[in-house]
Amino acid sequence: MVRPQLEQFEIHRMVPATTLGYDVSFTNASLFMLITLVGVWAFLTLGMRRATLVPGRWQSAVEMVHEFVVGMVDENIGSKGRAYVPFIFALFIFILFANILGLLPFAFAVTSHIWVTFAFAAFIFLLCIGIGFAKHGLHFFELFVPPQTPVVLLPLIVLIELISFLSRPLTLSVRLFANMTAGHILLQVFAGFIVSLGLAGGAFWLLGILPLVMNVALYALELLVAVVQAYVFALLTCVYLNDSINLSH
Amino acid sequence: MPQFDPSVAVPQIAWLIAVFAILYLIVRAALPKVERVTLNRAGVIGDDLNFAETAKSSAGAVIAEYEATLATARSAAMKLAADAKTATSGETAAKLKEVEAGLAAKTSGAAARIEAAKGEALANLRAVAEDATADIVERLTGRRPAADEVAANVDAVATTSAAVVA
Repeated sequence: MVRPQLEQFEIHRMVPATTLGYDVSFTNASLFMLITLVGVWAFLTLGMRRATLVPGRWQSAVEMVHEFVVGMVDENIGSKGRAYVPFIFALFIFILFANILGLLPFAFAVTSHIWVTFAFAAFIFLLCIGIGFAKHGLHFFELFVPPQTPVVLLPLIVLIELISFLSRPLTLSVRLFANMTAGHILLQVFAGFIVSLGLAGGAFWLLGILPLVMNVALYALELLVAVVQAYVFALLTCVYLNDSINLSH
Repeated sequence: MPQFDPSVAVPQIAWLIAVFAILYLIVRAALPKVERVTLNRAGVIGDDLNFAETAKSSAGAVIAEYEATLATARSAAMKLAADAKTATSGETAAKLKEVEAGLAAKTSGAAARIEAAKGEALANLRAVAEDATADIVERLTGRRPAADEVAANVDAVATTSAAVVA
C-alpha cells in the first residue's frame, strides 16, 4: 500500500506495450513528457511565428530564454561551446517546462523520478567522456591531475578528482529528483492538513487556514525551485562540458 | 517510494529518449530563426547608430562651415565699414579744408575791404578836419584861411597828437 503523500509519484501503465522484450508502456509519465514536448513546441513555434524586429511578448520570452542559454554557454564554455547551445537549450527548457507543468493540480512531475533525471545525468556523463576523448585523446586524463600539484599529493588528488568526476551523474540526478520530490511531498502534506482540519469540524475548520496559507507560500517557493533547478541542471551541464572541451579545472 | 521501483525504469527512459530526441530536433530547427532575428535586430540597431553618428558628424561639418562663412562675412563687413569710415573722413577733411579756404579767402577779402574803407575814412577824416578847421577859423576871424595853410596846420597837429598818443 502506497502512502497518500507518495501516490502522486505512482506510474500507471495507460497503454501496456512491449518492444523487443522491453516494457515501453505508455504511462502517465509518458503523457506528461508529451505534454511538455507540445508545450515547448508551442512556445517556440507560436513565439517565433511572426518574428518581427520589435518583438511581441511571446517572441520576447523565446528570445530571452535563448539569450539566457547563450549567455550561460558563452560564460562557462566560451566560443567553442556554441555547437552545444541547442542541446543545453533543449535540456533547460524541457526540465523547466516539466517542472512547472508538474506543479499544476493533478499533474505528474516528470522530473520527480530518479530514472528520468538519472537518464539525463548519465547521458551527459557519457557525452562529456566521449567529447573529452574525441577532442584530447589520452590527454583527457589530465583532467584528474590539476596543474602544479605536488608529487607527494598526486595519488590522493587524483583519487579525489576521480571520485568527484564519477559522482557527477549521481549528484546531478539526485539534486533535481530530490528537489522536485521533496517539494511535491511538502505540498501534499500541507494539503492533507487542510483537508483533515476541514473535516474535523468546529473551531478546527478555522485552523485549516494556516496550512492553506502555508501551501500558497510553498507553491510560490516551488515555482522558484522549478526554475532554479532547471537552471542549475543546465549550468552544471555547461560546467561539465567545459571540462571536456577546454580540459580546465 | 514509487520512484525506486525498478520496473518503471525502462518505460520512462524509453519514452524520455524518444521525446527528448524530438524536442532536440525541434529546438535545433527553431533556434536559427531566433538567432537570425536577434542578429538582424543587432544589425538594424548598429546601422541606425552608425547613421546617427554620420548624421551628427555631417551636422557638425555644416555647423563649422556656417561658422566659417559667418566669420568671413563678419570680417568683410567690418572691413567695408572701416573703409567707408576712412573714405568719409578723408572726404570730410577735404571738404572742411575747402570750406576753411573759402572762409579764409572771404575773411581776407573782408579785411582788405575794411582796410580800404578805413583808409578812405581816414582820408575823408582829414578833409573833414581841414574843412572844419577852415570853418572854425572863418567863424572866429571872419576870414577864410587858405587851403594849403589849413592843411599844413592840420598836419602839424596830427603829428603832435600822434606823438602824444604814442
